[in-house]
Amino acid sequence: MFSIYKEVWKIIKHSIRFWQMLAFSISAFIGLTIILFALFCYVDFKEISFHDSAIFKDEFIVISKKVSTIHTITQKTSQFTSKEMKDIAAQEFFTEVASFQSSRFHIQLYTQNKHMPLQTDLFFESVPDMYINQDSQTWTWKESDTFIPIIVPRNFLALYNFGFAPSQGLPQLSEDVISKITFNVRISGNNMRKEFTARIVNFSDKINTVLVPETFLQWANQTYGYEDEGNPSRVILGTKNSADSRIFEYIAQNKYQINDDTIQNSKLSFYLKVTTTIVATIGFVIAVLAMYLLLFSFYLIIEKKREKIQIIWHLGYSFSAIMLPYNVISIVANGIICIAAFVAAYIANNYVIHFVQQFLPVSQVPITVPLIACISLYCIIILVNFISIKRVLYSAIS
Amino acid sequence: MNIRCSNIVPIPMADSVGESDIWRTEREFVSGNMYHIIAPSGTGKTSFVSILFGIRKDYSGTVFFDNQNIAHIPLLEWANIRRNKVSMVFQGLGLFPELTTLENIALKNKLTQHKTSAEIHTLISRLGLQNHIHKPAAILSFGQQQRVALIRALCQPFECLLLDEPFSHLDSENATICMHIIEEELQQQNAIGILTSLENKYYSNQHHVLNL
Repeated sequence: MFSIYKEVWKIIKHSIRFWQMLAFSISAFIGLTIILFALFCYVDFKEISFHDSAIFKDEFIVISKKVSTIHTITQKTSQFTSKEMKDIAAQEFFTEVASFQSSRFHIQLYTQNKHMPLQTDLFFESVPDMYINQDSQTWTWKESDTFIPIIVPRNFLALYNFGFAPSQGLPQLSEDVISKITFNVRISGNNMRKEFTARIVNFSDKINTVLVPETFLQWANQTYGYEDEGNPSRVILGTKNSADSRIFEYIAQNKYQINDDTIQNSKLSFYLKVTTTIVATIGFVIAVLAMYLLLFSFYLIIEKKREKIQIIWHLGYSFSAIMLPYNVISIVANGIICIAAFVAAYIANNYVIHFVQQFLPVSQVPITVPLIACISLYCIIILVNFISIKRVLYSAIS
Repeated sequence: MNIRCSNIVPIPMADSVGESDIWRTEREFVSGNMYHIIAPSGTGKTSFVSILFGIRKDYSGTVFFDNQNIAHIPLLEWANIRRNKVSMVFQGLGLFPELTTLENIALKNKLTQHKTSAEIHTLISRLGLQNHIHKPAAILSFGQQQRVALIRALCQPFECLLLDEPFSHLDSENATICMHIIEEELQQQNAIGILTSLENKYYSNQHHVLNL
């Protein structure tokens, strides 16, 4: 069926300027490559900035007050007063406010394993379950349970593996192995004691404490706790964007402390977001200008050939038949450019990841998101071209 | 198909044109007849055939194809009409100089599949163009180009054939051959022929002569 377009194509071909097409192709290629590269990097780095997201919800920070010498002398803990808590809750950049609960009873953790004899005093803390992404079946406790799931800081395992174990001639443990060890927990207070079993169900980089389910700690504090609940010393805050600069200003103003990892992650995530947004914007501007160049070229071609297009139209060629060669050029040229830009962005991203891997735990993620973005961009470009070609051609024949 | 023109006049000529055989009158064109419009330059010959071909819309009055007012035909529907009902040899010819004689003809015939390759070659031979079939239209004389444009216009089914000064650059021998071919085609397709020319020269007594 395309044979009928042989002559039409011959007429149109004469009006296409090689340099015009080359200028468009190169600029569109650069623009699209930058957009896709920024997207590749954003997706890859999103993984590092929220490395802990497997356990904790993405957007939250943990704050505490600085422990000063006065606190040591007066034996008072650095707690948040209820006035301070109200002020925190009133800030619009915090979506949720919750306090850490601490254990107010005596806890001993020990193993009955001959190869790894261990006995230590311990403390527990809890945060509302909504901040923890752990599977609700493992992260649960009810009064009849004798098993307690625990989340410990990853640092604890590092301390053990690189400090404690070698000095005591004990075996080093991987996360997998230690997750399979069952510990015994003895809690006591108010002249009562009870035995539990416990297992580490996950590790955290974001919160430096030993976490247990909130229901367990509430029950244990009520039953074995030695005094009424005081004010919290650590507060967990939900945010819309943990990289919001107003948060850091507020925390500095009130002389609170913020979890270092959180800051690092937030700052990293903030800088990455800003950088990738700027890069993507530059790419977008270049790509839009390139598309404008292409549309302008089509406009020039059509204007220049207005008389010939009118003759073809007067010969009885349908409007869609006249549009077809222009749409084919648009589909093929943009298709080649999109594929080339995607491949170039993938290679560039590979190179960057290889470089970044030397100092950050990052790996290349599946290409799905950038690929979908590339296909969507392609469809948008084709659609915009189609509409523009149709408008210019329609004005040429009417 | 019958064509009926009711009181039409091109708007730009409204002040300068009085009643004639076509302007400001009732005029009907009937299938199987040849109409020969003879008039000097500037009296609206090209305007008239352009109105019938749907190119010009700046006129008052009404033109009917059968009973359809052509002013109401949607723009995109004209492609279909120009492929199947109304064909035209333009005064400016509208050939593509970069295409050869055969390619210019093929541009139309591939669209309609109306004539076989043999039929086209017969027409080319009858009009003395057999040595020019692979030459680009740009290097043909205007008279040769007029003959190419005529063959192209015949490569489709039509109920009306519009010929805008088709013989202006032809010698009388070639013009006569062209006229024979046109009459054969009109007879075959039982179509209306509307031919314009400057000259007061009748090619056949069978023609209806109209003056502007």
